[in-house]
Amino acid sequence: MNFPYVKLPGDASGVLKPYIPVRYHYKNSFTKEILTLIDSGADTSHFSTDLANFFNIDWKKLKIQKSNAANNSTFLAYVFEEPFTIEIGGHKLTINRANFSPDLAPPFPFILGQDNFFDLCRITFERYKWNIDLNIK
Amino acid sequence: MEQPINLAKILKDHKSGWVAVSKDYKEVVATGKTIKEVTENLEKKGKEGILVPAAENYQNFVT
Repeated sequence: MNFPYVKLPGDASGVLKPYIPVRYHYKNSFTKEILTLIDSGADTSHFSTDLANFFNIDWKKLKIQKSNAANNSTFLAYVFEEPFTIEIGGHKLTINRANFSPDLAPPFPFILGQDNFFDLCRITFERYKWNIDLNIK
Repeated sequence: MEQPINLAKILKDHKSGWVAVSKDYKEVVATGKTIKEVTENLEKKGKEGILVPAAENYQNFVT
């Protein structure tokens, strides 16, 4: 599957990011498609606690851990170890673990990271032609 | 070369919360402070959309 990069407000010409539309499923509920950042630098997936609230998950009762940002600052993450489903282009994948955080930067409240999203598909960032090539295993 | 999806213009007046953009990415069709709120507003209008986080600036981040 191919997904174009997304141009977002930044400087005068905007900034291009590898966001793709993802639908999130949990139990009998699901979201609309949500533009989600594909982030090879993230060890695991991180989502805003807004998603947990949508699914009525009591994230404050989850195990807390400190996650580290690139500048070595830390932020709180609530570890969700229950499998849930994401849907990309009609294909459903099971994510085994993710972190919910109330502290993610506003442009990136949904991040799909290495463990275990990158185990489930081959992702090729073709920025030179503004394309993300995603092949599900 | 593929053309990127250009949301820079239609998002520039939305600084926080969530927006729903049309499936062709050409217009904002609903807004809300939370995922639940923007979803409800979208459904009230009987429209389909893709949710996008709204922010003042998406540039110069290291994730």
